[in-house]
Amino acid sequence: MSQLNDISLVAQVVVFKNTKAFDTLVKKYQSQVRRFFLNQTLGDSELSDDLAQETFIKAYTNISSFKNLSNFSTWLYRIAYNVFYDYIRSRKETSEIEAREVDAMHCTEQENVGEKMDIYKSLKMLKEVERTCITLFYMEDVSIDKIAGIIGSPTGTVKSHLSRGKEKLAIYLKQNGYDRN
Amino acid sequence: MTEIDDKMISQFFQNEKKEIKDNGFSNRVMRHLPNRVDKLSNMWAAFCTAVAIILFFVFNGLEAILNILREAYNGTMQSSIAHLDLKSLLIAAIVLISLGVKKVCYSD
Repeated sequence: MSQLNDISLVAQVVVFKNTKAFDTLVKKYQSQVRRFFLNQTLGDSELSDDLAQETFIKAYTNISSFKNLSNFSTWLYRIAYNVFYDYIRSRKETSEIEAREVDAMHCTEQENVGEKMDIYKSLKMLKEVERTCITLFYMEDVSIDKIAGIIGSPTGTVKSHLSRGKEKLAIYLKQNGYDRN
Repeated sequence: MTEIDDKMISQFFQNEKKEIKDNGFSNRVMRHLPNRVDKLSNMWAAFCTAVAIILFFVFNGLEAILNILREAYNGTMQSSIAHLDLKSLLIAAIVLISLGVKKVCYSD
């Protein structure tokens, strides 16, 4: 039903350039997309909102290329993933900072995120691609097949990223007493 | 990697999963859509077109155009009859006929 709704809204945007229909889509998916970026940037809310905005603008300008082969949310995650990796690449090109150092920078920028600190600390242990797979799988309930479509890798590769990510997280969570809950 | 670990990770992420309030985010996105710029230029174009149409009727544009066309037609007809060169017309006709014959022969 929700998928049908999305298709109808997308059709209104494509055919009639109906911005109200697109506004409905933005309102529906803003939380998911912003949460995705918050997890990737380890809690940098300003950067997350900028990247999320870029994602929605790209979605709007390329909406006619949405062929309904996947859910609208999967298509949106794919754009978000590309936006984030373009951002990482541009950071690397301009400042030659390694990915881990970028992560560390975001972490210091976000010292006052309070209760969210644990999740960002735990995600900091992971490589970017592992973080993407883990958060999509556990937090956004995206299936392995769909994650493979989003990151453009075979399902086997996604499974390995998930497995490595899980191992690191399990160690971190046990060290922090989560296994006693 | 045990099933317990998997459960622990799953629970950890589900506990941390929070809905993010819009707080003006979607308005911000809508303000930055490229369509807004197009819309403004379309509105400006529509306004200019409307003004042009009104002025066209106010200053009796249709009659002015008809007059100009009539004058141009009359002028052309008069000058072409006065300066009609039969010799040139004959040469042009012969060239065209020869070209036509050539084309027919080669196409066969």
